[in-house]
Amino acid sequence: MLTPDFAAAADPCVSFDGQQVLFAGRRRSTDGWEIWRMQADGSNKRQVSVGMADARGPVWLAPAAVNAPNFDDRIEWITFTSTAKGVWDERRRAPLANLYAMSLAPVGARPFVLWQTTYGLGGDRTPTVLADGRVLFASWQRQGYGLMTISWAGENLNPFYGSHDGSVSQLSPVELPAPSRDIVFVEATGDAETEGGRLAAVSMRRPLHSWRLLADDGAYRTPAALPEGGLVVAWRGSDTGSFGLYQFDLRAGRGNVLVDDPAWHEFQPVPLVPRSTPRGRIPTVDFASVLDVEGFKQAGQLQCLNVYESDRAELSGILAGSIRRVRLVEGVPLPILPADNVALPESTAAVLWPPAHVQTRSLGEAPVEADGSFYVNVAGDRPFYLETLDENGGVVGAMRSWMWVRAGDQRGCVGCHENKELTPENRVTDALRRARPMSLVGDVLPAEGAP
Amino acid sequence: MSLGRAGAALGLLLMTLGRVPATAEVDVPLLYVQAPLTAASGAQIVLRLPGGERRGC
Repeated sequence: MLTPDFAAAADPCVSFDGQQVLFAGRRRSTDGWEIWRMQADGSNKRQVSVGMADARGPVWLAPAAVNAPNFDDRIEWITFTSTAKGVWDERRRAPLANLYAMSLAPVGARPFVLWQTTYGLGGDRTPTVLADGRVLFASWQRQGYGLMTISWAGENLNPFYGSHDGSVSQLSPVELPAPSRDIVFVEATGDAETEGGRLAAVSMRRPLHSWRLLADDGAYRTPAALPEGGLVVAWRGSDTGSFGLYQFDLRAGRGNVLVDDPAWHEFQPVPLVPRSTPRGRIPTVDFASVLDVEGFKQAGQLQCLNVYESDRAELSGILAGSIRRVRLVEGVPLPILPADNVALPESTAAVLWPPAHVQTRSLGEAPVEADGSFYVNVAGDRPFYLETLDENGGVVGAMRSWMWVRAGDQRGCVGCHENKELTPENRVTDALRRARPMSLVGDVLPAEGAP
Repeated sequence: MSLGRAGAALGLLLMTLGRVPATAEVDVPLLYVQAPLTAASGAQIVLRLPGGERRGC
């Protein structure tokens, strides 16, 4: 046992050289969870995060440089989930957990850098880092968790697998070593990660169209890739039994027991071995941003190529030219007050949009050009969804999930819920031909036309 | 037949019948979390070396 000096410890993650371990721990049972690091033999424990409420699921990121303009000093970074904002998730089921990225070394004059990297209001969990440097994580999408990717610094939010139209959750993803690079994950009903679910996989090449079932006997949790191929998973055969660790044969679709003590649950296996370092990349946010929006702080830019590009049946019949404007609607989570610190039970209200337990306010509107494009400055690091409007201000279509632009980032969309495998036409849009993006309102950005 | 041999034979028979998973071994150290069945707290990180304790069902 490596953590006897903790009331609870979990979520181990081994460094790329196999020498150190990140984990979530709490010294006393009344403490919040914080991120810690230790040597692989359990020695030299040091607290990494401070005051992050409940911080869980730490993951080593690729060493990356943020020292502009040379970007030649690579330092260690980690990501983890935290409920530090002290607000409810959109269902008011639990404190909202989002992803954060943190440096483990000084950056310039700053002793460390801490960025919130996701801003969805449903809640995020079980991050993992892919070989290409992206972070793959489970993100609540109205009725269940789906798999999303972001860059390690929070840019380029994209769906990976899963839908916000179904109640099946995808959780605990793990990438198999090359050449497979398949993503294995647990599929469960609702959000009960601790109850486990069936084991499924998709290919890295076409994740949206390659789902396959690996096993659905009993309940699986927390798969981990073995360095020479294969998996170790937590599994139990009945709803009331204990989880044990099993080596899972991907070809045979069954597991053989490694350790299964009926008096304990065993889960979250992690091979304690060196592994390949993912690709690092230079971020586009904070002091590494090259975006210069004069007069604006904490702004990002968003451009859309064609709002008429959609795979949604209700939008397929929209006549070109009928969408005149786009509205950005910010989601504002509710604070957790001492007097109402009681989570609500699950209800059918969860499928409503916008969610019942989120306040919304318009960030502003911008024109949609004749070719369906728009280009806006937007308050960065805020969750919002988009509504397309006709000439009377009526809503033609509305997103039913949260997106955001990191402050300092420039983000593009191909369409409105377009085919995610679509390669957009290479053309300069009408919106880009405008000299400047249209500014949007918010308490950070001045209103359109304001002095 | 010794008790150990009898147990092994019974295990092999049950495995043959497909009623319990076979035991396995991985050649790398594993970290994992061990947690009480009922208590919300008390989880601990455990190191398991190759050839460590193996238990059948």
